[in-house]
Amino acid sequence: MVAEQTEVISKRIKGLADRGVFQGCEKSVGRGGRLLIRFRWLLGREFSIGFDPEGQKITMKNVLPNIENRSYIDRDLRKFIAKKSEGNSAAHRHVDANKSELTYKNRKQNISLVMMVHDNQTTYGLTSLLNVVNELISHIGLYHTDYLHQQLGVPEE
Amino acid sequence: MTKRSSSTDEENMSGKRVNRREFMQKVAATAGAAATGMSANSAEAAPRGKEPPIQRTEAHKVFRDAPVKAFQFPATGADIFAKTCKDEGLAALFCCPGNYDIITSIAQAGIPAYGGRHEGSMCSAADAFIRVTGEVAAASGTEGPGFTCMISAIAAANAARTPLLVLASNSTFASEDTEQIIQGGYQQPTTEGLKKYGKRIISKERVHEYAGYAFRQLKTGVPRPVHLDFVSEVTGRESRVDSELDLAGYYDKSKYRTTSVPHPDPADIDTLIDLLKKAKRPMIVANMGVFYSKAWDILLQVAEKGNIPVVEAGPMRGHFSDGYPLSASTAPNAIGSVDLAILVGQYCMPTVGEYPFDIDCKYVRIDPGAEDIGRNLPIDLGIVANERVALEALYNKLPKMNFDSWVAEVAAARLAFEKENDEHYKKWLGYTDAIHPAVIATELSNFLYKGDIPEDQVTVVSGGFGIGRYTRRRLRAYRPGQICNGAYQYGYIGPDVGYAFGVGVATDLGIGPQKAWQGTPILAVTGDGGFAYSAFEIETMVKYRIPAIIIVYNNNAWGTWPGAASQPRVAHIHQFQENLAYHKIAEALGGHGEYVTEPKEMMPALQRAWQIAVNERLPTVINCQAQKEFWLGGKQWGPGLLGKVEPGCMSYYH
Repeated sequence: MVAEQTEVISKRIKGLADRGVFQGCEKSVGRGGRLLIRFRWLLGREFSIGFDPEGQKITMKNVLPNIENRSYIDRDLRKFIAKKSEGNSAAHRHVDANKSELTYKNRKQNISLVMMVHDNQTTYGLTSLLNVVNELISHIGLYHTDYLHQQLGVPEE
Repeated sequence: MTKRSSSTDEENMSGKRVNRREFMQKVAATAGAAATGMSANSAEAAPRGKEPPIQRTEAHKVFRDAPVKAFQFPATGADIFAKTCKDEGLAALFCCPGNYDIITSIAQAGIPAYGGRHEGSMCSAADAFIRVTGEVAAASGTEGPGFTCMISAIAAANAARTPLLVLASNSTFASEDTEQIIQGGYQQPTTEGLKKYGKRIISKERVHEYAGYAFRQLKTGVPRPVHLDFVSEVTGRESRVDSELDLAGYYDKSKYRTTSVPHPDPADIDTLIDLLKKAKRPMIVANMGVFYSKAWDILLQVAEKGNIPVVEAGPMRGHFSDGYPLSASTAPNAIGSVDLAILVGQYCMPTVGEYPFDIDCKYVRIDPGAEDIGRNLPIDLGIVANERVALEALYNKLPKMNFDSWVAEVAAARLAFEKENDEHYKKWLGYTDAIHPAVIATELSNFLYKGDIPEDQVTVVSGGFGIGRYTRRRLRAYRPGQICNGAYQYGYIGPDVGYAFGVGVATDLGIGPQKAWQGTPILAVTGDGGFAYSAFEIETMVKYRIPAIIIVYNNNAWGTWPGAASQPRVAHIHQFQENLAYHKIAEALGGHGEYVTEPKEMMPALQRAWQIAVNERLPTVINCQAQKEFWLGGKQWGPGLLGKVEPGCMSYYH
């Protein structure tokens, strides 16, 4: 099953790179079959997808840098991520708790998102995670333009 | 949608004289607002202490009725050029003195011509005129400094894909490179990258031929500015020719350009319909190509037959009304759900992620030029076709479709967006130390769309840096060309009063989609930073009696201040003096001024400005006193300097 899951994730990311959604992708497999795929995506930034087969976790580390714990933006982003699992929005816009579980982590001011996959719902978990990141960047572009400018180098205008 | 035409009441382009008083009474009646506190600030009547009253010249009163000079040989190159412009339907000329032969001949030929205070603002006026009419207009300045004053405006027009004709000249070929006299300079290299086509015309025999080159570029394919400059040997007295025997390529436009447009491959339309059948949440993105190809009626028919939501973006809005149930322009939260995006006439393309559709979204582009399809965004289908023709072909083959749950999601997103806007408004309504942009935006919306003025009446220049982030959320477009999106793409901060003049002239003349509300006042939103660049065009509005209401968001600083606020050696760069009296600039130039310092003053100020616009045909500056701290955001000052989601009403990048 692990090999199958790894293959599913690799193919999915490669497919998005082939479509031009991601700019390239580089895959490596570490100890215990841990998968890591790097690719360039939103705002021209590099992102990575990690898969831990043992814990059934898909992780996007360092999605956003330099966000102080419990700051205004940190609290807002936590709320945004928590809402994604509440199920108030359309089915295709929230994370179905029966299939996956989404967690927001702020470690040393770096934001990571972790999707715990249930019942082998790897494709669902990965797709949901990518769409959450897509929406998260859009949310920051609407409500935290100062952060975009100061931390991610997006022009102020 | 209520539409009223006053075309029989106003002066029209042919110069026919009609009853203006009757027209103004009618427009005044639509406002219905009390004229309390109405100013007696007529430019010609207002006594100003010991100072003599500002006098409007006789020249500005009579120019429209002055005789038009019929073309005949012998003719100068400038006369020949003006004739070609007239035959091509050049809708207006905006200029400052300079390039004398050309502007004189164009004005004498009967093309509406306007003189302003700065070539850059006049070039912006021409750009905005085109953005809300869809018709070609020209901007002119003199050789050298007059021309370079237009550069930012040309760049903005280029980014907006505006079919703007840029004209500049004065020097002789004989003096080229000598630095004899003054104002020399190579023009064409200066506009490199900012135009579709350019030419320095040095042969009087080829003036008409190159005018044909210009209009062929302006009126076919994807538009962008065209820049012509003339040496004075080809426009002045020495350029006189006795007959058409002396001219190369002297034939009619039907022979030097085609009105034929590219039609879609039927197989591509079938593929598009297959994609639609597989999609769950399709959306049409209607951009500038829909406007320029006048495809708004067929777009509505496609949307209704396919039950497909439509979102607008681009340098103008209104080609898919915000009032239609399928409009997604005010539904930003629905954008992330889109799984099939059909980009129609999107000449300025976003890159991946700038339109944050679902990551598996498929992309279709409908564009008249194949050379741009596939740039920036990977496509699943490219259709090379004129937008209107492509939509007609799609309509003919499209089955009735049902995306009801998706349409309901879009409707819910629209409601959520309005609710959020209302929350911003409520938070700041009780604040009385200044007026918050959320309050300005909401009061403006109430005035324009929820009072006695029909919602499709007033054409708006949506500009400003910080204030635009609130007003764009509240401004609505209910007919084509109702919003000119000021800062679009090039991000030129400052042309808004120039834009307002161009939009005001478009409305005054009743060109294109502005015909339905010819002569009605227009409104513009700008910031205190930008206002200073083009504020003197208030005088241009006064002298031509262009009734505009200019909202100036005065927060005592550039919108960039928050990033420098905590750095004492830097912050001053981003600040102005506080509480500047921008409204008095308007008064000093013959217009009217209002100063708003708290929420309750906003609506009465708008009402007074409207009455003055309608009854006296004068512009008003409403100086809205805000605070720079509003942009700090956070718990105390939130929501702060808002960003945007594109496409939709907040768009200004693409």
